[in-house]
Amino acid sequence: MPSATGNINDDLEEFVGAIRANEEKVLKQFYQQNYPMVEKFVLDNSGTIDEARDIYQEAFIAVWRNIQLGRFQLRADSSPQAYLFKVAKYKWLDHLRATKRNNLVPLSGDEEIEELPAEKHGRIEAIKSSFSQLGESCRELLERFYYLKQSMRTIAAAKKWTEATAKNNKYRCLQHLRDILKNKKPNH
Amino acid sequence: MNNHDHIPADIEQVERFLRKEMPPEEREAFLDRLATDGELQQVVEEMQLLSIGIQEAALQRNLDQFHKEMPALRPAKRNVFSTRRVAAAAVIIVASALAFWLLLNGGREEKLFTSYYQPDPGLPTLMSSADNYEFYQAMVDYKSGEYEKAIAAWDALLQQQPANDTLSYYLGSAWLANKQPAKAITYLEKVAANTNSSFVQDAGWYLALAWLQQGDKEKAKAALEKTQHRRREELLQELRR
Repeated sequence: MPSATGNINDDLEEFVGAIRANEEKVLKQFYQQNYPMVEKFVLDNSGTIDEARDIYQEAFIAVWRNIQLGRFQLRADSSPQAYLFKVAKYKWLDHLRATKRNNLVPLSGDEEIEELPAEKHGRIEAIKSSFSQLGESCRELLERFYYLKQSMRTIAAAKKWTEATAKNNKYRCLQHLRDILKNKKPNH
Repeated sequence: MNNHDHIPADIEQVERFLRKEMPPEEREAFLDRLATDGELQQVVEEMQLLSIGIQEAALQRNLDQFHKEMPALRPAKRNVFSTRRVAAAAVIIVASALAFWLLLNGGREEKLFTSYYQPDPGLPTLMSSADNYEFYQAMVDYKSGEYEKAIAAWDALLQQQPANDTLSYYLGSAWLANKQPAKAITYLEKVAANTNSSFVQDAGWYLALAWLQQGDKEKAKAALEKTQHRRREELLQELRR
């Protein structure tokens, strides 16, 4: 239940596991159930529907990332829904402050959220951008392995390859991605 | 693509570590090595960031799709003559007629209440999950105008979670929609005073409307002055006349 003050429930660990495994049904529920509150908040605080959507997706990815990296702490006084709302709220207020719009609500210390260091965040953004430059077959292969968490055996069966070929192809795609990254940012 | 690449053993091992596919003994040995091997630490970090970046690219595409498939938050542009639209139009005509009648016959506060009040539309209920089942089932009742059923269910849930602002807000909304503003006020006051709640602005707005329905213009003004609701100024001006 969406709440700023909800309690930890028995399914929380299962929920975190499902998010880590990118289970589509759980991700979709989590996304769709919590968007209306964020939209209300953004609209009530000088924003537009497009801005609400953008800030919500940014917050959703930040929460997803923290869950993946084990940075989301299960606490008795928190819930993923409240955490997502808090991140979205923080990001929107931060955006308002940066764009110096009217009706600024001051941020209190407990509303600050822990984010990845800027350097790591920048590297992830560069990876995302490089990934979009890969060919379709490489993108599919890497998504199957990393996002859908498919085993090499499953991928090999789906693509009618041997497992060894699947492994080699995946490695080549990964190398290709690294090459694009190196050309983009010589320092990394 | 061919079969002649050499895959460094470390990469395969690091991936099994990150995917938590290592048996406990191997994982322990790997963690010992990781604690002292700077080069291995770099490989782990690089592989982790690559994995996150690739997943986020896929996730972003899925989020766009989830958004497109979002249950409508506001009326969608659909077939003009669908049954639902005709039913909705009938409700609006009846409500407008009632509003007009009240404008002619009711007190000023009541008239304003009728002009400004529209029940909170509620939260989307298509995607309920097991742990939220009772909450969303009651939301279905609320949206169908079965306010008493919704109130009974949410009231029971509030006993278990007295600090839950979502429950308090929708209980207040349901009492107000059920034409019992005094009861609505007890819940809405609590949420309107909770600045951490995402419902704080709407609670303030409905609190003002509940006071209006009670005929208390001063308390309605006081509630409006504390909210940032987008229609606040409009109603405040009416109240100052």
